Amino acid sequence: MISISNIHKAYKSTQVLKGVDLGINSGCIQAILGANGAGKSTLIKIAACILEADSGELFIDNEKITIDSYSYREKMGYVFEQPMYIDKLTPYEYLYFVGKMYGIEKQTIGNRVNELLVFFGLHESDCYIERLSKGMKSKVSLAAALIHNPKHLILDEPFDGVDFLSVQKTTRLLRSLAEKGCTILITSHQYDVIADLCDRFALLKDGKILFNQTLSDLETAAKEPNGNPISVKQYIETLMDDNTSSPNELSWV
Amino acid sequence: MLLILLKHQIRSVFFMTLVTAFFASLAESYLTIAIAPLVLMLHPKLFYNAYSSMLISIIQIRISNIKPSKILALHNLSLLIWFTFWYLLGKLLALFVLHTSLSTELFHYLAFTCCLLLSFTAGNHLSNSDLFTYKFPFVRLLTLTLAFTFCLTFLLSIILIISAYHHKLLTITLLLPVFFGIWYSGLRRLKEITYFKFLVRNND
Repeated sequence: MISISNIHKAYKSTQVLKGVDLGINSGCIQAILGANGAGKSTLIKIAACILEADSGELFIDNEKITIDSYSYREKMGYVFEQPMYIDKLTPYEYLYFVGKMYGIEKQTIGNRVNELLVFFGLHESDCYIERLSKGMKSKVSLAAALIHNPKHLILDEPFDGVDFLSVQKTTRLLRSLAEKGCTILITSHQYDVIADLCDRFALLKDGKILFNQTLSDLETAAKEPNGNPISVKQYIETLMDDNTSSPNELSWV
Repeated sequence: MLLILLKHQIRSVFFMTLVTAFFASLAESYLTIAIAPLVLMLHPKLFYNAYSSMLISIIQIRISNIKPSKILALHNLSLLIWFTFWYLLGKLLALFVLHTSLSTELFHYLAFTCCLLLSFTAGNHLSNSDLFTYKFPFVRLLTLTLAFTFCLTFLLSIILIISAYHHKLLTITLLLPVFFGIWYSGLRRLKEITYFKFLVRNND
């Protein structure tokens, strides 16, 4: 279980997070939606303890996590908005290295790396990671987050640039991990991808969680002001959009 | 892990930045004074900012479960290999071209290794020190560089004094395992990466 309680964070004079509360049970896939600059990545970084909140608390499996906490990390897998890799290594070498960083035994690591490479379609990539496409780099990041069989996954835009087939395979994998008790927190701009994947959807707006509901609850709530039902996607779009008076066309196009 | 790190350092041409050890080694043989350790003062950041000089994302180190002793041992060993490579290449050339004495060169090599081990010890502790929490970058940089340079200068002075004695080779041979022990015990004592407190509070 992951519990985020009353998190505040400001960058200089801009208050980005103004008291975010979120609880994610084991086996649940939680989505965080929000416009650009809403604070999703900031929240992810705080949950990953690579950024310190101004106030608030983070609990993982009922253990309070601070920047001094250490032992919980072997349970966590992370994918950040910017793919992480070592540029002059091949995918095999990088995944092997990450596996060793997590202390995986030598006998196990080779098999896991090969399996991950085949799963993500990277087994024929002998070139350095820096030369791979954006989508393939994202896949390498995702593979690195899964190699140590984490109990909790925190994913910030994991499907950025990833091809349709790999997205489908990955969402099926995430679903099977959740069924085995893995807690997953995911942010994505691709609503259509995560709509079928996630159990709960939270909208981050103005530094707070506006709602945190299941898909069926959203379907019930998704109505125009005059009461006509609309799609969940349109409903979320309406709630996200602050600038409703902005034009929908460009004058020279 | 070490092999993969070395591969990366070759491919990124990182190892070429330590070529100064080759020239220092040649100068040392020519002047017959143990001055090659001075080259370590040309690369202080490699030692006192170990986590950032690893060519591995500091975030990757942060989020993994790797012990600080393990990651620093990797860093130290890779630098030891490259510095020793360039140093011995210089010595090899000196032996053939300058026809220097083997015992003198052996003394110089052992002295260089002692200085390397001390540099690693000092660097590992500085990398995990609260000096990184100093607010102003210039003050931080100055303090770290001075601390590192002081340690190295102190040892270099001892080595220069030893080199004036008759049994200098025996003395330095006995000192080498002492420095190794100090380096090793220093590594084992590191339980957490204090640098991350600095990173996390400044990652804005």
